[in-house]
Amino acid sequence: MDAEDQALVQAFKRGEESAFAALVIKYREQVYRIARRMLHGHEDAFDVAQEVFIRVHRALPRFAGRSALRTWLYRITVNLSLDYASRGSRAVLSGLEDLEWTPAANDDPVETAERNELARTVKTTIDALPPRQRAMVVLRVYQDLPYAEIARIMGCAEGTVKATMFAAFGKLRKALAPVMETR
Amino acid sequence: MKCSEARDLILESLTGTTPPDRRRALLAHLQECSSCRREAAEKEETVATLRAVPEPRLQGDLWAEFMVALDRRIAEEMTGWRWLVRLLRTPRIAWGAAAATSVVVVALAVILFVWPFSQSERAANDDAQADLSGLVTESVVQSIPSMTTVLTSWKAGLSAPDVSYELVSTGGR
Ligand SMILES: [Zn+2]
Repeated sequence: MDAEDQALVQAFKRGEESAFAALVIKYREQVYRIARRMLHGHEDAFDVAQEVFIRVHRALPRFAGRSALRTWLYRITVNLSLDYASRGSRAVLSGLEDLEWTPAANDDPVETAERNELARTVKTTIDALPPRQRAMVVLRVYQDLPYAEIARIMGCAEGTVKATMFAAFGKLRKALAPVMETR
Repeated sequence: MKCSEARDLILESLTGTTPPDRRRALLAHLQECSSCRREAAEKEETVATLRAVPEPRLQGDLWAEFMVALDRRIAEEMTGWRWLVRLLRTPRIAWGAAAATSVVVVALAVILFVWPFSQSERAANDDAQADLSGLVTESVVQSIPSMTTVLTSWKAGLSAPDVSYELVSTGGR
């Protein structure tokens, strides 16, 4: 395990709540990003990220450190996101998908519109993947995680990750072909 | 390198890290194999398109909101016994708790076992009536003159495990 993570976990076990706050600050952005890529909107991703850290706080005293803290955290994130996705997120139910991230203030509006269009297509394409495929693509493409760690997060064999990624990319290529031609 | 192996590696090397020797082998294959080259170009474009979308980000004050909400929910959870469990689980406090528990256990043992015996011992060895007169009135003491006898026989029963039940009971008769 990451030495800093180990020190923070030990400090938390000694009763230092500030160590938990440090862990949250270190990982909240990545946790939120994974959830945001997996789900439809900010609200859902925000809720999932909250729930992830509540569960971590609950279970951390019993965390034995057999896996890396990051792997464990991402595993909780992915499982909760899959759970949320299967329940049908609020954004989907209400039809309020907020697909665009906040653009920088001085952006050219045409460029922004184009980028938002691309973001929309990519989002729709990723969403169309079966949930577990979607999770693996997010972990690989956006989190740059090695196949071995993705396998531990997803609770499957490394070969399964490779095969799933191969299948997912076949679909992604087909679905993204229109935007790729115009780029 | 076979084409099937190359196809596997193309995706791996495009989306993340690949050991240098595997990467070199892949590049060598791509130089000779046009179909794998085409495959690599397509995959590369797909990855580039996926990554062209910027990472979602929360504004600064939303993170502050996140921390406040999290603190509140944890505080709600940490009421009552969960708080106590957390407290007792922390090693520093757990040592203290263990020490306090052992002190209580030892104190209870003294009160329950050692103290009564030392009392009865004294009562038996010294003049029992003189000992008890401090606690009870003269008349009560007068009414139990056989206290010493009772204590002595009771002690004999307890402290003489080699004396069988048969002998003790027939002796009493
Ligand atoms: Zn080939």
